[in-house]
Amino acid sequence: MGATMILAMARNILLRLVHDRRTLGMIFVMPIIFIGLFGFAFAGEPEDIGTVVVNLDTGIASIPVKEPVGNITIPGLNLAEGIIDGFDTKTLTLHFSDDVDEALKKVENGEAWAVVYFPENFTSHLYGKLLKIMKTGTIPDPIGGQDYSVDLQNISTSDATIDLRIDGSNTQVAAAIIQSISETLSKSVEESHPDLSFSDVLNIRYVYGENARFIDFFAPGIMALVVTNITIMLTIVSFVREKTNGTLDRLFVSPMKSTDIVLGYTVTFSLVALFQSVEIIAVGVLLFDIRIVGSIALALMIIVLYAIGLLGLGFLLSTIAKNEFQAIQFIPLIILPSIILAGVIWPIESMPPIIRPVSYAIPLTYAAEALRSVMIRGWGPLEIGVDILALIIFAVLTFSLSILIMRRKAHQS
Amino acid sequence: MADYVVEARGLVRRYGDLVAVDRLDFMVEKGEVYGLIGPNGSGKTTVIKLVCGLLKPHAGSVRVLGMQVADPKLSHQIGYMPQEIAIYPDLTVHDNVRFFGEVYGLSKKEVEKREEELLDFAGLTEKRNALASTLSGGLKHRLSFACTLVHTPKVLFLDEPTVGVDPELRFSFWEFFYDLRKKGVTTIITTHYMDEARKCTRVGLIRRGKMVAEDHPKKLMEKTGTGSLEDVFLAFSRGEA
Repeated sequence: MGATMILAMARNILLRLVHDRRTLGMIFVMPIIFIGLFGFAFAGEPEDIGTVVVNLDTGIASIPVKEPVGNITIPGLNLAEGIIDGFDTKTLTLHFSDDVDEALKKVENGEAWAVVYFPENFTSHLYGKLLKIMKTGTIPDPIGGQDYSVDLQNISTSDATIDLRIDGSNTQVAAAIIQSISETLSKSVEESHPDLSFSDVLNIRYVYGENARFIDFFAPGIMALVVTNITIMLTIVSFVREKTNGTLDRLFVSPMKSTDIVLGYTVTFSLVALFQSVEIIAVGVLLFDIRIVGSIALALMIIVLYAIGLLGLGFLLSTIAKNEFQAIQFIPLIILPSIILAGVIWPIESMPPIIRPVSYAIPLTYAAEALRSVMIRGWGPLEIGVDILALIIFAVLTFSLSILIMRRKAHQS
Repeated sequence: MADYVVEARGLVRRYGDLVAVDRLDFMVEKGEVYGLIGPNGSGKTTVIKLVCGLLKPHAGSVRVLGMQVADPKLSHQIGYMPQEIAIYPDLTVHDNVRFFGEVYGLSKKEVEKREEELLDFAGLTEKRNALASTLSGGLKHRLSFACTLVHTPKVLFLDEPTVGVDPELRFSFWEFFYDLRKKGVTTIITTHYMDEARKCTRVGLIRRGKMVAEDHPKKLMEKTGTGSLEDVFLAFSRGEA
């Protein structure tokens, strides 16, 4: 051991790095990508969550009184409007509807995450509920006459709650909706009426994913992520090895066609992806008690379709890489953005709007979304049509490109 | 006009600015063991890749057995052994041979028959179930050669098949090439071992992508008045011949 030798070794490695431009590029670019991606992904809470507000509240309180027996009408209270005005529109993107069934359909179809429903007598019954809680004996005449004595016994309170219907398939989005609405309610209701708790007013029900835990949300994404990782790695490494071994040249000279080669790989690696998915589902169900509402067969079909696209991508990258070392460097470039931006761990809704189009350009986004829809929402093939279409486009595109490139390589023009 | 097995005319192949093969012509007749010889980087491998269809020429034409190189029927007739050992190290000897047999559409019976013959020739019968990665360098070469021959090709393109092979194995390879010749197989081989080149029925000397001389090794020596192919080569390289 000696300083000269250590320095010689160090210089040797440095020179080798300098000569390998692709690796050098990686050394500079990787940290920027890493910090950039994490920075964006961790940047905030979910935002722009599509929420439909159905406000049927008349805004008029009609309170039963004893003398003379009847109802006294108090206009202009508009409690629902007051609450809606207080909603945090950064977190919730509000759409308005008069039809609660239509609004619910939107959540069922995945077009919106939640419905906030204010029934017709909301103001009236909430006002009544307040009078009841505070045991108010009299209320002043709205037009300035004598006070009325309130008939507390006959006050109805059935409409005094806001119905919140949530798609709970994404636990973080669901949590953000509940938190946002609860905060608004605590401000508008609790502050003015300390005797009333917001939970008395809010009735939460789930359209999908009732009692869904983070792991239920997480498992479908992880399944897709594992398949991404292994399929890309296996394809790249084995195909580049085929190239450097000389066996690919042998095949190119043989009667075997490029399509045969690619499809041969596809058969085996799709089976590997299938096996891994079954493994994850089995461990998930047995060990972590994940709940699967929809069809497992459909989930596995999605995985295989996605894996086929990944194989195509792996082939494409293999054709770019000259050797296994270069090929391996592509893996984090694919995996990392997928983990962070595809909504597997953090919902896409929590990313800055400017980065969201990137999320929708990542195939994993569609695979994870489709898997969640099947496993948590119990959706069928028709409901996940868009995701399946995206995955088909991904597979067709990468496959035709890689077969095309391979044909060119087979007879290099 | 003779019926050529390989007929290459005016072949040109460039890599960027570098002209790797420069207006090269050569014809090979049936049953020849034709040697493409030249120093490293002279363009031998590029020529082999052009004639077996792995590369497209930028100019010129190649016909093998009277067919265009791109003709799918031709692929059944030719055997190509790249410079790399080109076998699957993580498969057994048997699986390697079987796979390449299947690639050429051989039936199960045909594969079994050929496997027996080839493993016997290559001295690999006992290693049939060994992983290719566990074989010695020489045995790997033999396996690679066996895989090239599994479909009984009529024309062989062998790119430096004996590099890194011990003298004994090189000798047995050449015996085999001559056996194949008797069966009418045509072999085009690249080499930079001059003792091997001497065994060819004809050699083409390639330098900087050009064919500088072509004849029977003995005749070349006579022409240049030299005693060895090395000297022939040097004579042509220096422009003395």
